[in-house]
Amino acid sequence: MVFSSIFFICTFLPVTIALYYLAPHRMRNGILLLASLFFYAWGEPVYLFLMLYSILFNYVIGIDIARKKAGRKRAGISLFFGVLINLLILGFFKYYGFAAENIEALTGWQFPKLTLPLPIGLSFYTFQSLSYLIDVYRGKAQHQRNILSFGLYISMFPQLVAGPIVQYADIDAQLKNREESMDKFGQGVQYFIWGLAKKVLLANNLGAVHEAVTALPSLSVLSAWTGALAYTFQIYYDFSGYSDMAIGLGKMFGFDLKENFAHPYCARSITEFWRRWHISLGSWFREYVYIPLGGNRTGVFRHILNLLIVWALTGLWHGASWNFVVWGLYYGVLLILEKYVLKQRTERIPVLGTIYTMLLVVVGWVFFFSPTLTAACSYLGMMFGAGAAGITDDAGMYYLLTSLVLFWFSWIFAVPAASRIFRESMERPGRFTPLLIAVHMGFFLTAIAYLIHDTYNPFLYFRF
Amino acid sequence: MNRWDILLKLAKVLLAGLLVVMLAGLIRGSARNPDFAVLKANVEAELDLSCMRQGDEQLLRRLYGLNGGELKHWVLYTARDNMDVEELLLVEAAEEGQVSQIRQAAEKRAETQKNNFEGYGPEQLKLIEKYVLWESDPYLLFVISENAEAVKSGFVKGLYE
Repeated sequence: MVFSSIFFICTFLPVTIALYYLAPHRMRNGILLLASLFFYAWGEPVYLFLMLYSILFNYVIGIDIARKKAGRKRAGISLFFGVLINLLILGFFKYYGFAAENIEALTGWQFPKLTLPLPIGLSFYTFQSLSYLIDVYRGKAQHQRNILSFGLYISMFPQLVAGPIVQYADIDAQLKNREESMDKFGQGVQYFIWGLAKKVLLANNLGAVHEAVTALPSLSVLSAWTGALAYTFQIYYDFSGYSDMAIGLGKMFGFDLKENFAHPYCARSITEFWRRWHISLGSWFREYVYIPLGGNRTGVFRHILNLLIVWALTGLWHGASWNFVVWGLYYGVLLILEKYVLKQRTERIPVLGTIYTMLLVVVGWVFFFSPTLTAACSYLGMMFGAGAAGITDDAGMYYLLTSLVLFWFSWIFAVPAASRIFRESMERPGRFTPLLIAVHMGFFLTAIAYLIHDTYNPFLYFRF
Repeated sequence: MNRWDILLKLAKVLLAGLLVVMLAGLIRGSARNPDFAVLKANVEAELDLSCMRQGDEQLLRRLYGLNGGELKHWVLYTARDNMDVEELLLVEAAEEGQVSQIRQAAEKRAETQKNNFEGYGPEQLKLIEKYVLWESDPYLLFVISENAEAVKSGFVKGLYE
């Protein structure tokens, strides 16, 4: 089930909210857990068993680690077992085909050919499970005794399928005791509407431009850049829209989830970009991979190696394909260059720094949207003239001119000013409040109108 | 070891066992044969087909000594120009043991082409010597092309797609 669907907005969400608030406090986690499992089973009932298994397995291992804490070595063995099984499940479903294909190409060994659709949200809830086990092992959080509360942490529908990845230590207290209020509920609705508008009004339309451009039989330099730029904004509004909806839904049920995006396209360096893009994934890798590897408190060589490991894994997390590994390493290399060569110089030049970052980010997304590495190289070649059908062509001009308004709005909402005005005005009611409510209602109703006529448009990050 | 420790150990063993059963069931239930159409599309995508033409049963018999009717699926491309050596053969065997027969035929074809160009076509000879012959029962790929490695990657990718 997707948030941007009529069934979710008009049936699932109102029923869940009603049941949740009608139930006594002690039953609310249970209600939310049942709603989350129903939400998950809606698309893929088969993989509900995998989700239930994951809940039960990590619940047991969490208790085991907590009981063995006095003998740290035994707790460590238990943690290792837990991490191994979680990675085995993730590896089997997400990387089996990729690994088998590459091993066969290298060695000739043959493996069973399987049809294994990726369980939705597997990468996200596996990382949450790992966060729980490691936080309990490190003593950053108490193990969860209540299996309903633990099940809710793993499966909570607002962030189940595409994050943000919630670290257990950040939500432990909220699972036991959280405050629901009308103010928070209202904020939640506001976030949800922003997210819905971003997804339906901007991302889906940008996606249509990108699809149309990439389907052209030949591309000029202009059309290649137009297609790449459309995808650049599409993925931002798609994913940040989902995150806003997730944060909003969380607030409706009393949870405070951390922001996942902070205007990444205004960054003045790649380093800053990654402090603003998919913040929860960056924090997860920093906390559970980069710092345990030694972080930057090592020699230069080891630090560079740590960065490359983390970024290769970040790429691989996004998908089982060499494109994603190259995309991750591309950022790893850029971050190393910024750290050791440029030394944050670009951050001191506001406009040029942003242009430099945007150019590199747009180039990076080509690896992301291309089906293969060869296709990515060929597309990149066309962006810079190699193999392109001239500098401009009629199709390129047509798509650029018809998308100018869309690009303009995409840029306006990507900078902090617009959302700051909205947020501050809603937080401090004044004479513009009725107008802003009307604007939100306008966004909501327009998005609903689009959804009624639109085809199925899942979120891009669902496949990760 | 108290009662709780025994219970936890038992739970861990049961859960590990359950996972093995679940994955084994999935492997059995998800086994499939790769789609020949996907393999064909993947290898064709890596070749410049404008310089090649698709071969018929007669050509397959003449170049490889194979009877197309006895194979489950196959596709053959050869170079349009007689002085070019690009070639592709993709086959899905119809019965067990047939793949080794096709492999021998492909090796023989490579040998014949080497003899044809030896002495007067050094560029072509170099390309023929780099031929790729890849077997993944019941499929076989034989390709002579500058892009032979990419064609092979597309083929192997198609096996697991």
